Amino acid sequence: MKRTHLGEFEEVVLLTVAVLHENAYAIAIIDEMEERLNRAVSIGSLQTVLRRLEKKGYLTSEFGEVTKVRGGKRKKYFTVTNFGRNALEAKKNERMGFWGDITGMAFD
Amino acid sequence: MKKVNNNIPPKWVLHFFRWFCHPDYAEDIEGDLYEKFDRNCQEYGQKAAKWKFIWAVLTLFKPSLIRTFEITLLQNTTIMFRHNLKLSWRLLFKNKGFSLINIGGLAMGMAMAMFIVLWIKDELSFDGFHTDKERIYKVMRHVTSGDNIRTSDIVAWKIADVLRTEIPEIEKVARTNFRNPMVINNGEHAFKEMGFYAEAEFFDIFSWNLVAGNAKTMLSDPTSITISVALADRYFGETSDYSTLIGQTIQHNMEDVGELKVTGVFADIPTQSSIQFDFILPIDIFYKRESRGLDSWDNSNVQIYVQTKKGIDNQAINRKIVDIHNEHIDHFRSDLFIQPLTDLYLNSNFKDGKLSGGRIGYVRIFAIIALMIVLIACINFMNLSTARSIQRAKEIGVRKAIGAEKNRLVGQFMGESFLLILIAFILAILLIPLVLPSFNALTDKNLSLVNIDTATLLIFASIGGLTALIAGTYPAFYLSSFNAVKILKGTFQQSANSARFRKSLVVFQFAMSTLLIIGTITVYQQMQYIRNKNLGYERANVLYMPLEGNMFQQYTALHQELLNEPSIEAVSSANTVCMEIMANTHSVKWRGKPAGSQQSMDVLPIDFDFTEVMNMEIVQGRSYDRAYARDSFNYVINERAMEIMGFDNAVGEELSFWGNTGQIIGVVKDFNSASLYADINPIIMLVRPDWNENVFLRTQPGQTAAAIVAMERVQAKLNPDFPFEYHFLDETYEKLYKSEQTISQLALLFTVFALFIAGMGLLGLSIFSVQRRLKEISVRKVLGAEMGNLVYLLSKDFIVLILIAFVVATPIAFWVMQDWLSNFSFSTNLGLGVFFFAAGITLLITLLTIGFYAVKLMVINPIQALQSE
Repeated sequence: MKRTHLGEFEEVVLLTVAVLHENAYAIAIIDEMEERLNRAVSIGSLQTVLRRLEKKGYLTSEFGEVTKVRGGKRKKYFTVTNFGRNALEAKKNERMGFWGDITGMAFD
Repeated sequence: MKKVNNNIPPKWVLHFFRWFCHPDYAEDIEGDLYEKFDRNCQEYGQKAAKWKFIWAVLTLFKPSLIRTFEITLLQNTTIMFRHNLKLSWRLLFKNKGFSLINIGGLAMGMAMAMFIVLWIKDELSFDGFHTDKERIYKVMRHVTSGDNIRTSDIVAWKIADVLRTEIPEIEKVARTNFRNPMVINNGEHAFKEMGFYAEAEFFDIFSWNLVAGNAKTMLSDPTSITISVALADRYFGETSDYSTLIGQTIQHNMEDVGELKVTGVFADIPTQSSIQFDFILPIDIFYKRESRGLDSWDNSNVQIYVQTKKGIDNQAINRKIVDIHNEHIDHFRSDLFIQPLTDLYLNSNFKDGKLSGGRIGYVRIFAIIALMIVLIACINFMNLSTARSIQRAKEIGVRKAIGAEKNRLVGQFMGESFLLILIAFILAILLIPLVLPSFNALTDKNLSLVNIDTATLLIFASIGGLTALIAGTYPAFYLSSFNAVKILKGTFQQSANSARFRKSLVVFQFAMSTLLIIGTITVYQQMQYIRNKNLGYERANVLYMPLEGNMFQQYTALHQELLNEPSIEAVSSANTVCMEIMANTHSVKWRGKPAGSQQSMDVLPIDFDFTEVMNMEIVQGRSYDRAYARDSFNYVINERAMEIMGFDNAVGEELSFWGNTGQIIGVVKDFNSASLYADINPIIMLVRPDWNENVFLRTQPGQTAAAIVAMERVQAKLNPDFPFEYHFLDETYEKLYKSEQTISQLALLFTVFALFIAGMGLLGLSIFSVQRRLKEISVRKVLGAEMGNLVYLLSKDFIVLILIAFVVATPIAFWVMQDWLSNFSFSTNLGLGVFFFAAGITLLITLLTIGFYAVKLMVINPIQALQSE
């Protein structure tokens, strides 16, 4: 399996989608990220990342139902694919590897 | 629970987003935007929410989200093209009336613009056929006299010598002098010809086409004459080889000059030359004849043309030559400068020593008018096209439902417009040769399409192209933006925004029309003013004849014979016509003249009885009387002269100039001695019958024909060798204003056209308006509304529009016309009458529109309109 690089932002977005489980659409993702990370996320940057992740194969998407709100436009729900999950886990193991080898006295 | 929010995000931003966003992504992102917007409204208020919305959309403008712009390549392009063409063609014939009005209006508009282009091109090309024309100049001078500066092209004889020897930047110099018409007689007929005295370099500087003779030598013999082909044909009869005429003699009427031998023949001077002549005499003849003071620096009597070396800046030359004359005179200033040949025709008015335009002003005005006309015609086209849009609605709806893209529809409608415009363009081109003769008659020109050059053709084509672009785009885009769903459902309603846009177009049209109306009326009024102004002397019933040949010696006999005629009331003579006084002097001395002041005064040599012939009013003292022998040495001055001299009572005061001292015996009321563009100059009149060149006579009112017969008889008796020639003074006066006359008539033509077009624009709008509110009107009718109420309801919009147009246009028109009138020293007032008249006309058009409404409304069958509900 070829290793593709996962940027920091991309990783956080994937994690958020995983956390939100079945409720992962753009607005919800932004809300969650802003709350957890305490920083502003613009719709533009998020959407770009979402499409890119979908193209890379880390996410899939499907349309929700039509509702009266949102001017009748459907929501797009994202879910993390297996491929995406594997990438996330690989990243996580990498990090844990580092942490495991750091002695207490490394930080001054 | 979500609170229902009635606020909507900014529409334009939304449209922008929908435009750039990739269609696959658009839906859910838009939904997100809405949701965020609602939330922000609740949290931060509507204003902040809107800003956040805009910001969000801007952040979405990223390459990965933007749609791919593809030019959809149609496989069946040719089929579609032919289909569209067929459809457009059928549509044309289906609405014959509408198409006719549309095409007709456009064709007329384009044709007018093209005429103006031809006219402008002709004006701009005057004097343009000389090689090296940018190096050719005329020597002019600013003469300071008192407190005003007069500019003249008549300069001193010796200046040419100085220019030849001391100014190396000047390559060639040629003196010329306008020669009074010379009469030649070939034994059968007498002809009056116009020409110049000139030096040999005259043919070197300018590119006059020599048909026979040697340019370098033909003027060196003082008994020679160079003639035009036309003159040669008249005198010698037509011939195929003009070189045979070299050496032949011409009989003429100059007493002190011997026989003249033809030494050269030149091609007729083109009409586009501001310098016109049929013969050239060597200037040596002039030098010998007019030797009184020709060499003196105090006198100016020739025109000098020069050609500079390549690459010389004329300002540098101006600095060098400015004082050449001043060095040799001491009681007035005469600053020399050179004026480019190319400016002589269009740009040669001077006021107070500065260039103040000239005919070029008219060229610019007409260019603007051409543009305005094209615009008006385009706007008209746009309005009429969109007015019929409801009828196309179903077709558009179906096409869109089947899957036509907006761009395709745009293309289709532009194609239709182009077809119409193409037909109009062809019509316009065909119209031009038909109307050209009348246009030439109107503008006193000789425009022809024979040697039309590519630049003009390009301009014509761009007129067509511009029209197509302006007039075709808006209707195309408007029609293709219709909402297919709404149309097919039947709930289609034309938006208020589009109506507003079209209304502003009509306002624009009417504003321009109002401008044109006011302009035309003002010009017309000024012409009337000019025609009717009391100039201070009688114009009607006054005729004059040139005093030449034998008549000159036999003046007394002539005087007596004419006076004997019952149809002639008074006879006298003068040097020139009142409105062309050419002599002036600086050297007048009167009692109390401030030392060192230079004051130029015009001099008019006359004969006894002149003031009676001209019915001039004497305000002080008396006019000339034969009973007083000394009157031959006395002067009559005008009020302006008296004012400058500072006298309250001038009678008895002594005046001296030109070596003669005499008394002022009378003061005449000021009369206009030049065109009404100029102020009244001080004038001194003196009795000098032997200087006079014209006989003036006043006829009994209504007896002009008899008087002319008598004049001819006397002329034949006393001076048979000369052709009989006479002029009406009022005709001569009106000739001064030939260009203004032309402008006036052209302005009228344009205004009528603009009004016609604007009227049609209003028509289109009202059709559209009725259509739009068809249901509303029908319901009102059914409910029993009165005709009057309905008409008022619908037309009050238009009255407001027209009022707005009027209010907008009036100040602009006022400002422009004031500017034009200020060129005249004597002008009519820009009174309220003009504006009321313009308002009246616009009101008339409004009433006509309302009348049209009434008719249309009466015809509406409310049942039919409501049936589809």
